[in-house]
Amino acid sequence: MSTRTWQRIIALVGLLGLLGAACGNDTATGEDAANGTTGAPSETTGESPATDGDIDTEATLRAAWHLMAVSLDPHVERHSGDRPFYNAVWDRLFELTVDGEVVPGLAESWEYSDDGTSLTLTIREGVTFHDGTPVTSEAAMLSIERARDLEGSTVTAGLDNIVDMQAPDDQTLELSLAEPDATIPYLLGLSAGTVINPAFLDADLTMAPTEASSAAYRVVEFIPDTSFTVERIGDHGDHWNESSGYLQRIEVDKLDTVAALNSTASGEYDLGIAVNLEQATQLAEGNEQLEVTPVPTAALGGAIFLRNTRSEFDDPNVRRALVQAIDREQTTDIIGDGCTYNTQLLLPDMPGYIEGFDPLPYDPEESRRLLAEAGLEDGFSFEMTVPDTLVGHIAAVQAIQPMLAEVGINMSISQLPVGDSQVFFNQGDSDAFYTSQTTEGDPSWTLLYYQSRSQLFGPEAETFEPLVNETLPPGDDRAERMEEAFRTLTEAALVSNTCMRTIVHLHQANVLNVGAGTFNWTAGTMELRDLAIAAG
Amino acid sequence: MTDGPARPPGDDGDAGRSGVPGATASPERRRQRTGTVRSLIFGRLVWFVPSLIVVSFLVFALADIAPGDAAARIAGEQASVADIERVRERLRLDQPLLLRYGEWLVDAARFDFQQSLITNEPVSTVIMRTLPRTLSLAGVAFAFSCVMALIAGCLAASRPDTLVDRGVTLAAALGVVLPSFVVSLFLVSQFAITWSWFPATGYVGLIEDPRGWIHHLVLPAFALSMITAGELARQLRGSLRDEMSRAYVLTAHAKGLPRSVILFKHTLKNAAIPVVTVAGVRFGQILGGTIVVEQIFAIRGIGTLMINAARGHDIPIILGVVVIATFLVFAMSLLVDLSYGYLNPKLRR
Repeated sequence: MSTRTWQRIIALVGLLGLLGAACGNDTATGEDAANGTTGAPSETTGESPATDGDIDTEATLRAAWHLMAVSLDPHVERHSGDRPFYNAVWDRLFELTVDGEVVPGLAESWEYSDDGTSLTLTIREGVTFHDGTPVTSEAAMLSIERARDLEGSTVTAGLDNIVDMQAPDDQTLELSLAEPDATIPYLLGLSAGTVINPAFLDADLTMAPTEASSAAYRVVEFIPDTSFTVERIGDHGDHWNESSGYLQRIEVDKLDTVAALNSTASGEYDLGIAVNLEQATQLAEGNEQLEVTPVPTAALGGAIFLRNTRSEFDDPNVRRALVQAIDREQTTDIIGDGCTYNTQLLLPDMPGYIEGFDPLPYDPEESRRLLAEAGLEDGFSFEMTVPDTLVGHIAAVQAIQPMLAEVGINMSISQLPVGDSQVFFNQGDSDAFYTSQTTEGDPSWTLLYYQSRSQLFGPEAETFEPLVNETLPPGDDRAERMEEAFRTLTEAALVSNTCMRTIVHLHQANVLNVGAGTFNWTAGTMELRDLAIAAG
Repeated sequence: MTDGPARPPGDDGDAGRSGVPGATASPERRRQRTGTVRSLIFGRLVWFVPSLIVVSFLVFALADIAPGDAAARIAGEQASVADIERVRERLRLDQPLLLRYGEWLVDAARFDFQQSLITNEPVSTVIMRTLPRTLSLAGVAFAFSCVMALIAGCLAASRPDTLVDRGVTLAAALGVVLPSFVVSLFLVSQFAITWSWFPATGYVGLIEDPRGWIHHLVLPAFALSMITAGELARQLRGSLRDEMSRAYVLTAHAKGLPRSVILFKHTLKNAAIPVVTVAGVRFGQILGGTIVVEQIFAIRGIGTLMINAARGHDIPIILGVVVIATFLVFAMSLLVDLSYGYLNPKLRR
């Protein structure tokens, strides 16, 4: 056969190969997910998890998400987005429900002393690490010490209130507190409450060695900041928490939010997590295999933070004038993507949320009057910093800019990388900062979060700090104390909320428990291990 | 009178490729050629090292002065200013720029590209994990570009001023002006989501699954190849038309040689030199284009690595990528230079 004939054959084979590739029916392309009716957003929050009979306990779930941990050592958490990965491969002393309620984890019960300065935990009996070592109160104590003392630990906040720990027996752990603090169980429901096998306390936990943990899953592959694959140890129901570990295997890949939704729509992933509600809804339209589950969260909204290093912002009237110049309902419409307006930093139904409370509504006339009262009839200028990668935040400040100009406030916008914009603001290099507001499962933690940025506050700091501290002791009237603190925070316009967001889950219809159980951000963390895939 | 057409300018009847059976280059000539190639490679390498030092220093300095703080990222979102300072000291980010660059350079000279500031993984490990993905994408995109340009350029040049010629010119112009992210999003929407012909995202290794490999690369490579294909097609069309107006082509026609023989055997090779030059330059741009396309198709190659490193101010990773990219561009440039010798034997001397 001549060279030319061979060349033709090779070219033809190459062409057929391409066509074959194009027409292939890999399961990954999900061509069965093609027809049907509109995939409207479903009701979600607080939904009960599916029961065992509905679930395929041998299933693998593939999820695409724009977040990924860089280490599985729970004590070097960078942000709350790392927690779902830790939670799959580590057990904590407590867990948090969708409503932010603390429920037993490795500690099956807890009790405060009457004066709130002592907390006694009872550790679950019969639980072992995967090398057979029993989980004891001493292991819990040493783990908390590691969280507090490890060089580079990022979860030390709040642990300094624990001044002493004693483990009188294997099941009892006594914590002595410097001040009464009802948030300790919540804190130990986050990464600081991870219980590690004492034999591994000095080891490198980046890959979460199986023997160091008592969790339902073990790491199969973890590529930092890239992908995470875990496999269940034993059968469903073997773990102490019988209601978790439905899936045999969980694979999570870090994908850009748009790619996460597109690849879920094309069937490559079972679940895509993002914030683009409109895009997700559009993709689900006409595809009965797909569902959109938006889960409200306060953690992804947007809020304006003001610094008192600007002499103008030291005056509460100027801050109020700024807030009242902003039509926040119109702003949320401009931002779109499931952004809704809430006057407060908490989600409705959370302790501390005050129904119908909106002390600083949109009122440009009042805004001008307040500015005049502050001696700023001619207005003033300031610079607003915004993280450059968060499109919704940039849209928000661009929407706000002309509204402020209406009352004479000239706001310039400076876009910076996410981490840097926070540092710039904290160091006092920017006047104002528009960023995600953080709401934790325990509202006192939300208050502490804002209080910790002490440079935010003007003259109210002296009033606000004791109010925050008063929310900490346990007691029946705690919700009222929290309301009082949030009332002060809102009225003083120290932080102005403009947008509450939803986290959007685009998923195949057979994925269960999305937005239910503990797979929910509302409490500040979530559990991948609660997800399931329907049988059949 | 000989049987063939008059020799084209690039074809000097060199014995090694004259087509005369049995004709071979003399040992002396072969030695000369090998020496030329060696000196070319050596010359390139001599330039590679200082260029790399200049490029890496500029990138290091720019990354250092750009707004951003790796220490803040590592310290976590609840970290105080003091916490961030502690991390900065631990990572030696508080040291002067020249000192840190000098340390990197000394390590790099020993092929130790240090560790990622964010994940602590060795930079070489991270690059070896991601490089095959980017090379696959860039390689397939480059191949697509060349094939499309060859077909379109030859079609247009062989049918000047016809509908085909105008169609090719228009398509090439569209290919050049349409941004790759627009093409990517369109391809994903139609071919992945609506028709489910190709996956919307992801990558499969060539050895692991060759069919899956090409299946995953078709859409991103096509999106990435559009600009280069358009550019090369226009270049090839123009170059071929110039070549076709030469006397030796007229002679070939007069002798009754088929049009395809004239085109593929004689004119294409001579028209290829400027096209190859452009192709060499465009390969670097394809590499740069992977940054956007990898992100849309979630390929997680060097481009995605670079974006994440730039966002996190992970300077060791940024420098590692720069070294690789510089090497690839130099290698491509060398290949282009070597190809001139094949296309135009006069240049071998």
